[in-house]
Order: sequence, then C-alpha cells, then structure tokens
Amino acid sequence: MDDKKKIPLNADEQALTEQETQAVEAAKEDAVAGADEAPAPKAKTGKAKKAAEPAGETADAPAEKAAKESEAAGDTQTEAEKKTYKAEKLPPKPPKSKEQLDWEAARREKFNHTVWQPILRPIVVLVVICLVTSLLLGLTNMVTEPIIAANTEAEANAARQALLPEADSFTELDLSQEYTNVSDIYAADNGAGWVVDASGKGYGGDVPVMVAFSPDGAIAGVTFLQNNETPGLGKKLETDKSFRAQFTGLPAEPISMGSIDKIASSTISTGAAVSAINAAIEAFNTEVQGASSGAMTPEEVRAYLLPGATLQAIVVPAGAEGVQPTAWRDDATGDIIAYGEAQGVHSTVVAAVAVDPDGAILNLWLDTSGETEGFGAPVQSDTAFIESFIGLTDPQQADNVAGGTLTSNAVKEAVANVLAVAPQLADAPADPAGGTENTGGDSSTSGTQTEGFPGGISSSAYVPYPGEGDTPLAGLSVAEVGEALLPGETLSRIIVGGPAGTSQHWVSDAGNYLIYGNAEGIGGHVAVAVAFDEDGAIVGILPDVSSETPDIGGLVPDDADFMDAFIGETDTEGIEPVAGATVTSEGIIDAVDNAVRAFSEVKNMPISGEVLR
Amino acid sequence: MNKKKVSNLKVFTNGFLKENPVLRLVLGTCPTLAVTTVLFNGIGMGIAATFVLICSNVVISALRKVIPSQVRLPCFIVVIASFVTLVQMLIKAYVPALNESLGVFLPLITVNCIILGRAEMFASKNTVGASALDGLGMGLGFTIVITLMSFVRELLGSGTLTLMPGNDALTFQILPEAVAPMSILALPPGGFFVFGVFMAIAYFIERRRGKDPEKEACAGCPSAAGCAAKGACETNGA
Repeated sequence: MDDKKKIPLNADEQALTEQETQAVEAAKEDAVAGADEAPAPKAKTGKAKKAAEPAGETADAPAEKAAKESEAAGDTQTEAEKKTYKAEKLPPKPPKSKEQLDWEAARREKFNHTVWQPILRPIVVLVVICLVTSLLLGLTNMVTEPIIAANTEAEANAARQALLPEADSFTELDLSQEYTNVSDIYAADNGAGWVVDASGKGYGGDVPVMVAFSPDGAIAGVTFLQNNETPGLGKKLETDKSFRAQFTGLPAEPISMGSIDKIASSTISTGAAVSAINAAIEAFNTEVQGASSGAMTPEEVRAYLLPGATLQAIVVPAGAEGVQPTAWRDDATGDIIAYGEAQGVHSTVVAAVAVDPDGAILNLWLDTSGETEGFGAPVQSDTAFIESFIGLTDPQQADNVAGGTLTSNAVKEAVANVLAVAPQLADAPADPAGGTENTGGDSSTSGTQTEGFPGGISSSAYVPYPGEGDTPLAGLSVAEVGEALLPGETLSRIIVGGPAGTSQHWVSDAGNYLIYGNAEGIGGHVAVAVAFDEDGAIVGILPDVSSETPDIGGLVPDDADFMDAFIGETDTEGIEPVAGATVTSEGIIDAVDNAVRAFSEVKNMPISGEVLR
Repeated sequence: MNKKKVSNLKVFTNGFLKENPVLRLVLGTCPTLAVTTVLFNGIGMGIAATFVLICSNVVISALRKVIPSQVRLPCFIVVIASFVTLVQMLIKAYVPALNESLGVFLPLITVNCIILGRAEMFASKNTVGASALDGLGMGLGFTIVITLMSFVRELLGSGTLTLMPGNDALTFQILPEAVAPMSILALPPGGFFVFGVFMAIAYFIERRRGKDPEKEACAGCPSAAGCAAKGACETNGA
C-alpha cells in the first residue's frame, strides 16, 4: 500500500497501525464487495463459509489477526467503541486471503489514480481555498465596512467644509430629477450656501468636481477631486490653484470655454472641468434657485427663443394640426415662434420653436415634464439634443436622447407640426387679442433670462458663424477676401447654401474657385476661406478664428509652417495640427477639408448668382 | 524541489539585478509603464507590491503541498486577490490617508504578474522562509527600478519631483519653469523609451559580469529557474 497517497478517511483510523488499518479497511471493502457478490440476505453465513475456505491454506493467520484486533480494541476507549460498532455490523471479523488484500489495495490505488487525484482533489482544494478566503473577506468586510463608510462620509464632509468654511454641517437635498453629471446637492444647515457634486468626461474617465455656491447664488469655490487625467497635464486640475480660483465669484450662469484661462495643452481635461461646473450650475439653478422662482413664464420662453425681437401675436390658420392657436412673429426679420404639440408616452409634449423665414430652426424650448421620470422627462434639459435641431429644416435629422426615444420622437413630431405650418404663418393675420411684445435685450443678456427655466437650457440663441450668409469672415466681405486670395479676379457666385460644412461658393473669371469651409473649433465655429485653382489645388487660405482662445488658437493663422502646409495640396491628408492648439488647428483642417470636398461638387455647377466687381 | 541548495543571501539578492523582475524577467511591465510618471507613484506602487509579494509568497509556499498542480494558477490568483482585497479593506478602514495615496495601486497589484510569476516560479517549490526572502528581494528589485524610472520620467517629463501629491512642501520644481520639459517622457511612449534604456543598462551590466544569455544559455538566463523548456537552449546553442 502506498503510504503517501493513502486517503485519510478519519482520524481514528490514522491512529491504528498499518496492519490494523488494512484489516479494518478490508472489512469495509468486504462489506461492499460482499453486498455486491454474495447473495445478499445470507451475507453473514456466506462470509463465514468464505472465511473457512482460505483458513485451510494459512491456518494461523486468522487467529493471529483476531488476537491483535482484540488487543487493539482494548487500547483506547474510542477504538473500543469503534470496534463495538463494527462488531455489530460485521461480526465475526473475516480473515483475508493475500489475493483479496492485494485486490482491495489495487482497487483503492486505482480509485486514487483515476478519480481522486485527477478529478476530485483539485475541486476539493480549490473549493476549500475559495470558501476560506471568502469567509475571511466576508468577516473583514463586516468589520471594516461601517468604518470605511464613516471615513468616506467624514472625508466628503471635510471637503465640503473646506469649500464653505462658514457652514457647520450639511444635509443632502432630494433632487427633483436625475442629472447625468450631477450626483448630489448638499445644503449647509446654517444657510451658508450649497455644495454640488458633479463630474465631466475627461481624458481618463470622470473628472469629479465640487462646486460651492454662496447664498447670493454666486460660485463660492471649486475643488477638483482625484481624477485619472494624464499626470503632468490634465492632472494639474487637482493642484492648479489659479485655475480653480478663476471660478470663484462667477455668477451661476453657464461658463463658456473661451472665457476662462485653460491649463496649457490640456484642452480635454479643462473642457471636462468646465462642463462639470456647468452641470453643477445647471442643477443648482434648477434645484435651488428654480425652487423659489418657479417655471419660466411664456414671455420668458419667447425672450429666450428670440432675444431682442419685437413680437406680434398672430393667428394660426385653422386646420393646422398639432400647433397651438396663437403664434408670434417678428415682422422685422420674419422669424416666427409657434408651439407644436405631439403625444408622448404619458403626456402631450410641447415644443416652442423659433423658425426663420427659410424654414430653418433657430431655437427650441421643450416641455416634456409629463413624461417618464428619468427617461423621457429629462429630454427637455438635454442641451445636446436641443442643439441638434438648430439650423435644421427637417427635425427627423436631429439626434435622439438615449433612454427617451419615444419622447424624442414626440418632440420631433411637434417640431415637424410647427415647420409644416410655418410658411403660412409668414403672412398670417395679427391676433388682436394677443397684441405685441418686446422681448428686450439681446443675445448677450439671454443667459440671465434663462435663470429659473425648468429645463435649464444653457444654449443661447443661434449665432451665425463667420462667412455664413452676409456675415463677414475675419472682418472682410467676400469681395475683400477674394481680393486677398485671388487678387484682380472677378468673382461669380455659383450657389447659395451648398454642401454641408461650406457657406460661400464663387468662381473667378480666371477659372479659380473660392469656397468658405467651416468646422467646430474650441469656442464655436472656425471658418476658412479657401481658394482653389481649376484642378482643385489650394492656392491660398484665410481662416477666421475669432471664436478661439486669443493667445492659443487665435495664433494659429500666424503659424507659417501650418498655413503653408495647405498650399498646393488637393486634400488635407498629412497636415499636422499645431501643438498646444490642437482643437483649433484641427477645426481649420476640417473646415478646409469640407471646402475640398465641396469643390468637386461645386466645380461643375453653372454660375447662378451675383457677380462681384 | 530544487536540486541545488541556493543560499539565502543569493535568494535575497537575486531580485536586485540577476533576476530583476522588471528588467531581466520582464514581468510586471504594465504597472511599470503605467504608474512611473510621478516619483511618488513609483515608490508607492513598489512598497505596496513588495508587501503583497512577501505575504502571497509565504501563503502559497505554505500551501504548496496541498495545492494540486492542475488548479495551481486559480488557487494562486484566489489567494493573491483575496490578500489584496483584505489588505485594501484594512487600510481603507484604519489608515485612510495611506489608502488615498495608494488607492489606485492596491487593486492593480492583483494583476501584477510579478506576484503570480514568483508564486509559480519560486514559492510553489521552496520553503516558507526562502519564499519570504525571495518576495522581499524581488519586491525591492521592483521598487528600485520603478522608483528610478519614475524619477527620470518625472524629472525630465514634468520638471518636478513629487514625494507627496497635493503637498506643496514635498513637491519640488527641479527644472526652472522657463525650461520646457520633455512632456513625451510623461506620456506612454516615454515610458517605453525609459524602460528600454533601463533594460539595456541592466543587460550591459550582466554581460560585463559574464552572464550573457546568448553565450551562456540557461546558466546566464534569468528565467532559468521557472523555465518549462529548461535545457532546450543549451541543445540549440551547441
């Protein structure tokens, strides 16, 4: 018998001597074997007979064994008990032949090698290790969990305390809706202010921030918690005091990227920080400020949609489906505000839409407050969704809000209802009951007017980008741009509007082309006037970076290497953005790219418009 | 079982250069590249990993006769992961300041393949005492290398040396602000550059000491102890 691989069956047996163990185990096996082989009912007698046969061969052996067994039985109490137990089951102890013992040993050996070692033992050991470690972890967790929770709470409280030193303790507010980027709002119990926990998507995950507001509604302080931004670049958010300090004292209004000093070369992290702070401001305005001033009045909604307009109430023609009977028109510009309606999931969704005379959406205000909490209801405050409508003439091209698809569709239907009736509103009769109103102000003050608005929309009214329509590019009219890029040539307009991402399309009498491309920069649209020769090679570019950061993106047009890289090219492949002003230079590259793509489309079109010079 | 009895001192010093886990065994490359951007990270990760390495080596060595070879890897991982979790919970509860400093590195240690590598190569074949020494030696070797790497990367990449983030008194501006640091060294590619240079230096020193893997085959190979194809190189070389 292989001692090392012996299966420890129980403690008692290990106490026995080798020989005795064999005997006991043999007896056990015998019982099993007996049950299998011999006719079951007369097992005892059967065994007795069996025992008698081999007894002839080795006459002394059984006697010796029996003697030893009785000796062993007398040794200890437990062994005696055991023997008694066994004696009841299998008396008298059957003597074993050598073959039998060998066979039994081989059987155990076989079990050991085929089942226990390769299959059962690994399972048992792994399960035992897992159970023991789980138990240990569970016990440790039981002990440490409350302490950890208390630590975390104390830490967060200390951080809030550091932001608002006058506060004594904090209470968490119940939020009226779920915010994507705001987790909690805490109010100081002694009225010293509020602290909002928010986060923004950065380069390496969320950038968490705590924003404190003083009782007068201004930002009292900002703290960046630990983030996973690139060390040495975006991670400086955590430690850069001057960056943090510039937010202190700002009113609770959306902050634009252009108005703050960014951390150099960390545009994405800074953007995450600003969007987190803006989310905090929005939630603060909705939850704290909005709670006192209530929802926006209809006048405020119209002022938000078309700031600085003189509105005349007009009657919506009968038969216009899904549009409220009263609309508003600015007779000076021809812009219209009408209220569309459509059935959402639970309620009627209302969309107030400002439309220009060409049927393009200028601005949008939504009321989806009757929709499912956490799904459709937040649609009205989803700035990205609302902004995706602006400039469209077909609302179906707008985005959808994830989780609020049905509500988003209802919004689109409501907007479509307005757009369907908009052409008729251009000369609809004035509504004598409605009168006129002046929405006052201009776009620069619209921010304050959105305060308390339930959706908390932070976008201001649509501003045309440089080069769009009659808007000058880099302060120059088309004629002046043409003089700069294609001196002495006479320009003729090809089309108005044109392919996406471009605004002006002109051809010169010398066979050269001038196309304005535009793309997203860091603070808005970057527009570039691109002059092509007849083969589509770029002969000159003139960017407008007025929306960009003056000392960073604003300097890109002065970078001769970057600017010269475009000349002579027929595409923008391989042009490297300017280091430290990546977003702006990529905006310029994209804008040129749009112009390049429009070139092939525009090239074969006939001249259709005015002629300059 | 080891055929040759290796002296305890040798076991301890092996990790410094001859079998340095990062530079010679090329284990634990991921944390080495990822965290060595700031000096403090290098030190913190090194100490945390050394601690877990010693403890897991001891536990696995003690269990080496119980664990069947078929399931040794799951067993090692379970032991290591629970150990890391346990330590993390205790640190969080009783030394929160340390957790704040080491926070990111602690869970990362579970997947640090130095620990699994040493469990497989050494602890599962040697006594508890020797395994503890091996853990200490390897851990120190790891700590020294990543501390030096983060020293170089932070100094040249950011121009600073940070002994405690957020504490101005322990953050030193070494290069003058006017000197633009080589930011690329703080970024992932810089990690590879510095790592390559360090490996080359370690190889150079070992070769000077007559331990050239190319010439000496298994005798000069740092991975010989745990190599499944031990001896194959010798035959190929001859």
